Amino acid sequence: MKLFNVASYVCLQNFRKWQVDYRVWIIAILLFMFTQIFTKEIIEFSKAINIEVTPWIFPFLFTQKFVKLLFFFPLILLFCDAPFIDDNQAYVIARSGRIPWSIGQIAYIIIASSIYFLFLLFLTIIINISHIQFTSSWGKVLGTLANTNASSVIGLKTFVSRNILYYFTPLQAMWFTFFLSWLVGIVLGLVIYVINSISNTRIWGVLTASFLLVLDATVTGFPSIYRFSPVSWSNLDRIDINGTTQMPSISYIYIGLAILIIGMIILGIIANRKQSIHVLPPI
Amino acid sequence: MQQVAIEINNISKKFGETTVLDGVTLSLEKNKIHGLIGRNGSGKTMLLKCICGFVIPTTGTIKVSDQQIGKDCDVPDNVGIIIEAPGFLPNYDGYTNLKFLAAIKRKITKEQILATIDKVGLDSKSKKKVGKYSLGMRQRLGLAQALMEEPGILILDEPMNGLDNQGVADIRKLLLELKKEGKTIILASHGKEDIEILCDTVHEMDHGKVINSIIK
Repeated sequence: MKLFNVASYVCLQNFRKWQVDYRVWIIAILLFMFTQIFTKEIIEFSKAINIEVTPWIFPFLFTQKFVKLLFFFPLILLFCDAPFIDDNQAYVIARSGRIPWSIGQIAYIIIASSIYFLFLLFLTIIINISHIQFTSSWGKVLGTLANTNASSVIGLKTFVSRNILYYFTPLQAMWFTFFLSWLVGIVLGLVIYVINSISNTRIWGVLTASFLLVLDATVTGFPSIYRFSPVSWSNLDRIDINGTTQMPSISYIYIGLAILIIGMIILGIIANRKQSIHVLPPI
Repeated sequence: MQQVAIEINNISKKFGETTVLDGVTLSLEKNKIHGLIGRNGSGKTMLLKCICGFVIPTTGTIKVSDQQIGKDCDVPDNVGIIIEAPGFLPNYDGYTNLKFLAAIKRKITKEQILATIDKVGLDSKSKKKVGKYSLGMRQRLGLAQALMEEPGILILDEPMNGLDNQGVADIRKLLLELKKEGKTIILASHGKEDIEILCDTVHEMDHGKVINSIIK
């Protein structure tokens, strides 16, 4: 219990910095802009056919490889200074000890990743609220974009996948997209955390996480390779639902993410226990 | 013979080919003020970081209050520190910053935090954000955070940094009072006057070694 309490205070100390951390504000603005840009055509189409769109746009932000890159890169910006050691953290570590401190920093990555994708999910609704009709079905707008050539006619930059509409209800798609994106976000954050902790720099962790993002874009069109690209696992269109494709199954993805996350948490705690703590200049 | 608060045994630290600490051995007794002097890059701060558990030595051992760093504990208990520039959350006032830190160990009350802020010469009632503090005010707040949980050992790296003459006089007086209260203080400073007025032992460092020790 004491370990949990101390770790939670360490975690909270990072969130207290958000108010004055320029990166958080830049990320919020970037996500707002990207969401507006990449949902604009859907809304324009909705207006053109005079039918309101349903609020289930979020799953389709990650179906097009380059658009997905744009939505995930700000997360790397958020975690680029992992393990988040600054002048103030020295006072925190002196009180908490290394292991509770590590756990607190890892908890910060987990919670911050959830906030990031929840924020994105709500942005897709809030930005377009005046054109949204709340219903539990996919609706005619998304249905038409998925099942006809209307998306290419209007020049849609994202991709409304027919498979997603077929295999998932809207709430399922929203939940799984959020859940898998959140877990992939944790993986990216932990990659930066572990590699930066071991290398005592910021660059290698960021480069490795960026490589994983670019790998996702690179393996598009090669379903058998998706199972080796963790970032690809947040795209519902790359999950084998009924065992008929070479894409990874949802069980494979859950196990893969669990192994990656648990393995990197253990590595992160060991690395922080054995490495010297160096305060690097602020980003 | 006085009890030993900190035992430093043949500590070396290398970064690649660069040796920053080279076979440092010291026994620092309780209830005394021990001074570390030396030019920039002599290894004073690195030695203090090793004592605090922030830097893991390449060889050698350090015991603080009979607990070996890296074996019995990761960071020593009952130690207050100022290492390098004091860092606080700029969008909160001094008391709130200390309250956040005090919440980790939960050993002290609000009144004790406020009393410590007053003790170092800051206004405990002020709502001024730390982001607007002068260097001297930050240094005083750094000292307050080191003192507030009433540690038995204080490790202070350049605690007079940024203080005016009155501030320096106040902190010297405070450190002598803390010594009378039974605290052990390790003080790294450029200021020869600080060392001469305050310290019971003085250890001069150069190129990562202790080259001279004076016991008064």
